[in-house]
Amino acid sequence: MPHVLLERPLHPAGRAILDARAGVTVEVAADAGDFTARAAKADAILLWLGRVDAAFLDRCPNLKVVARYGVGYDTVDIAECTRRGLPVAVVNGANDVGVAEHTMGLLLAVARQIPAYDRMVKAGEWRSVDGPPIGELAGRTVLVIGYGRIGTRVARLCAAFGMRVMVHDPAFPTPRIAADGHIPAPDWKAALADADVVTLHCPLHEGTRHLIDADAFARMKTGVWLINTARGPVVDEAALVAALRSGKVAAAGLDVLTVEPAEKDNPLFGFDTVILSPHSAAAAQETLARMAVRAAHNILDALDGRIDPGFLVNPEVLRRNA
Amino acid sequence: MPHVLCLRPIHDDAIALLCASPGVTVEVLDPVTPETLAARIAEADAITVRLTRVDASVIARAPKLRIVARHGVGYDAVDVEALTARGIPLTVTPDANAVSVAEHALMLMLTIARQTIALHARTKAALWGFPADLPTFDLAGRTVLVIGFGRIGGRVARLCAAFGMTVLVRDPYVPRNTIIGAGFAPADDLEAALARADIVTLHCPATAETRGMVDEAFLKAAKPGVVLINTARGTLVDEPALAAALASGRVAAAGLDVFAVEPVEPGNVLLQAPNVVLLPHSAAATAESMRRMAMSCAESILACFAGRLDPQVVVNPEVLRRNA
Repeated sequence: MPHVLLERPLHPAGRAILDARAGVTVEVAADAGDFTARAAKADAILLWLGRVDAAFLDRCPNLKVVARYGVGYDTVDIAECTRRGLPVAVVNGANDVGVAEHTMGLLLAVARQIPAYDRMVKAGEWRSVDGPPIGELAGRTVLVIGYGRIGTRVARLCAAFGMRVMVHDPAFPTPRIAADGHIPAPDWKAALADADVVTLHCPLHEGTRHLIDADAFARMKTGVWLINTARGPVVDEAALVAALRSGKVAAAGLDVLTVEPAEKDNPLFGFDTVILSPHSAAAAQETLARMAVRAAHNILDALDGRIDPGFLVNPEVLRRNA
Repeated sequence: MPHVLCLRPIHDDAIALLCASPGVTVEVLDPVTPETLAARIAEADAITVRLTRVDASVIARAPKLRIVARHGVGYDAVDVEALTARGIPLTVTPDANAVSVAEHALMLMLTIARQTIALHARTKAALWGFPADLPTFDLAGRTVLVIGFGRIGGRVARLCAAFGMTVLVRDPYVPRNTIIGAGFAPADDLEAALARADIVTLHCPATAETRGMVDEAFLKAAKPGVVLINTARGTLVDEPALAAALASGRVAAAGLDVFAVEPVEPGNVLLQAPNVVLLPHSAAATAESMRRMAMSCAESILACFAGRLDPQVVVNPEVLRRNA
């Protein structure tokens, strides 16, 4: 009787798929401590922001699959899972539309300084042409860092707005970027000098931690806009604060922070031109439902021994297990 | 010596362009009050107009006036008939602001879809997470009804399509085949289109025909939970009817850049309505658009002085034929 442990309640669209499977039992953890305790009996776990490391895995002898409700996997010790032959599944393809739209939403909100303008009108202050400076996307140059499922969509949307699109992704062949109609930027540090907007769409790993640091900011145009819907630690927040203070970065749209949930004294909250959302890029109703359905299928398929390697972070475990 | 009177400042590059033309003098009136205007209007061969009302009494006091250049595309604050009677062309800046306004409309859609304002305020207060009473949605897969398929509506339709939306277009003055050819579905039957659309966005001018178009009956015909975007003119909307529909939830949210009376009055019912994003008619106020509008005004004025005004930018082109 395979047992599935959910870190949190799952969207009904996904929960129904798990409940419909005969012989599978499902339970939801009450909190983090409860999750760790109950994981000892689980064949499959579904993670939101919970961390999985060697010590955690040592307590879970029955575990056959580690599934994430999301596409990031910086909270999971992948090497350790792989060493134990444990597949780590993510919901690839379920959230790219939503995150790409959220990116454009933040970019336009930054361009139009929407919270400040809305607040002024509601407070009776009418500044149609002499408010904080606002700008167009059309004609601006954007550097898209990371050309995966989300970055490709963002690049296409930026192009639709008439932006000049430069793309950097070391894992993606430059001729394909050019064939998609964008400008390849193999030397991303050089490209920073040319970008009016920088938007991040890479995973967080040791190679991308603090990718955008003081040196990167120094190379950027004065007045650049930074958008981050990837992972907080891809940006060195202290360096960003300094760049906002100096005016190097004019405005930023951030869905992710180094420390989440956000702490009250985060210095980024002191800038009017920084627009924030609570890691909600993938929180649209449609996206939540799609992610839940995919996560449920990933769990059942892994238990059935027939998971599509495309949904695994470490597909090499399938060959070894076979 | 033609004299250009700018009713409020315009972009420096445009002033420089006018000044560089031999014999042209430029004066910027700021602030524009009935008194300052009365004192200087008689000298003007050309005026640039931002938000000042140019009615028959203003025009009557400008004996030398040869052109009125609107810094923008709307001209409901200008008495066109009075100008036409005097043979004075009124120009607008049709190509200057379409990009900016179209982007603004998409921005309003995304701001509503992503609950940008409420979630920004919560995050700044260190309230993490997205509560169930602030649901967010994707534009992809939704249906949008674009009312008005001119320079702005056409761009909005294309941008919506880029987001994966189904795009319905309503414009009785554009042939069906033009809409179909552009890749969109013509909405011949407004009621049927309203019943289908998740988002309705307005991009038509305010005319006798369109004023008050979004009234109680319009909102009743709309799909429950519809989102309304207005970056066109406030007078297109019956504001109390919209406020009531927002209060009842019939309209889920509205993004409004324009109001029936601007600056918006403290008692405007929409200021207190739930789920509204309100902006101060700033859709075309980007740095790029402001410069393009100013340059377009300056070019029209110089072209008028040279007797070669492009009829495409003239609201009352009949005066050109008559003057010729």
